[in-house]
Amino acid sequence: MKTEKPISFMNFSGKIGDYVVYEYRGKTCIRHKPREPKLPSSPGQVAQQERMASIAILYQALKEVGIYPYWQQAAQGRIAHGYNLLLKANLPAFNYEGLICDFAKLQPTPNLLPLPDGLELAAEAGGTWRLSWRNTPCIPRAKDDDRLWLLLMRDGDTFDPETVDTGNAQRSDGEARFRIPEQYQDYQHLYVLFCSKTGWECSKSRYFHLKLCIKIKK
Amino acid sequence: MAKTDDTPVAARVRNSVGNVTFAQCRGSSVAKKKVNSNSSNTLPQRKQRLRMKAMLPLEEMIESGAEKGLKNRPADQDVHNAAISANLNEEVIQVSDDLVVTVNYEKVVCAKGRRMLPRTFSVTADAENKTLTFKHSTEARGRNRDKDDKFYALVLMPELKDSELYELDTRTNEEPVSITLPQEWDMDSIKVYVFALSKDGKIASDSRYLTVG
Repeated sequence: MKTEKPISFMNFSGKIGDYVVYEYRGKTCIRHKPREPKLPSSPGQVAQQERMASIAILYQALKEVGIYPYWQQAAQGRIAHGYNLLLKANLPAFNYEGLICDFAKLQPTPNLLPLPDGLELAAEAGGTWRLSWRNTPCIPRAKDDDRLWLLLMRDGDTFDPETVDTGNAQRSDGEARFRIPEQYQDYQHLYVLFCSKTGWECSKSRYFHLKLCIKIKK
Repeated sequence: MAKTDDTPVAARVRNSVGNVTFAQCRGSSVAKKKVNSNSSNTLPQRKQRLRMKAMLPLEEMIESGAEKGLKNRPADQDVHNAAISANLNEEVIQVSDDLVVTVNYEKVVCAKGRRMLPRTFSVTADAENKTLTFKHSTEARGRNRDKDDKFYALVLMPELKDSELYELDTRTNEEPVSITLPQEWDMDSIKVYVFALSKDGKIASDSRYLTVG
């Protein structure tokens, strides 16, 4: 059990006798060392451990794609850091086995910029996709040169988001056309977001399931 | 054996006072009464003694692998405790009612953890050059596997009570990896185990026994 005691006459951390002094969320805390051997985890605890382990790997994947600096920006001025925010936003998307149970719940990016209104995705002839949106005027923090960013993910137990070339599309364009590369044809989950041209701000992601979009068009 | 209060004084008391011996056991201060005679000799007890006797040289052989593969062990266990705890059972060291001891090397554990090994992992031997060549399937980053995970091979030579730990490659490597064994080792007698380890060395996979092809 954790207790907080103000220790103003010295700053230290570590073990002293049977107690451990440490810093948590900017505060100095003191607790007793565990007395009994740890019992096996309950099913609920195991499930949460699986989720946490999977998110740690998803975090590495998002770092590789270049998204993690946006989470760090979102954590500016807060005690929590970017990884904490990413964890909190994405924990509900994973099930008790550490697999993504609902891709629509996944939030690869933090919510620092607004998404445009009326985002729609439609399949066109020749394997091309058309993404369109309305540029409603006077949306706070939205800029014309905010860049469009597309992320693809696939089913199964892999967490490897891939980016799609959008031809430098930006918010003011109102639409963008793109093709899914041949090697990503089985990637059915698309995340649409906008990020600032300068700085590290981006919008939360809008989710589209590519197979469902084709069915709706038909 | 009795546990004493974990006070700073009790933690420092050692050796014997009269018939009582003070020691540290699994991080706790304990007091034990001296044993003058021991008449325990039932069959299960004799079996367990033989099992422990066979366990000690096995533990020495797998120690180098266990140091990396059994990192996530209880706080009151060191590497030796963890290695013995994982292998001191009927499945690994079989003792018959005739007190014949057999070590089942296919069940030996030198690593435990949440990480996963690739679905296919094979090893072939070149007896002339004393080399082993490992090949595995590549997998993308996903549940319980990261691109930077490293694979290790622990090779035992039971007849010489010797072993060697080799770092192989990472999960995304597609090319076979070869290692060279000591010249005096008999390629027909070696036992090979592989396990994965995360880049920071904190999370391992369960070890897998490979049949040498």
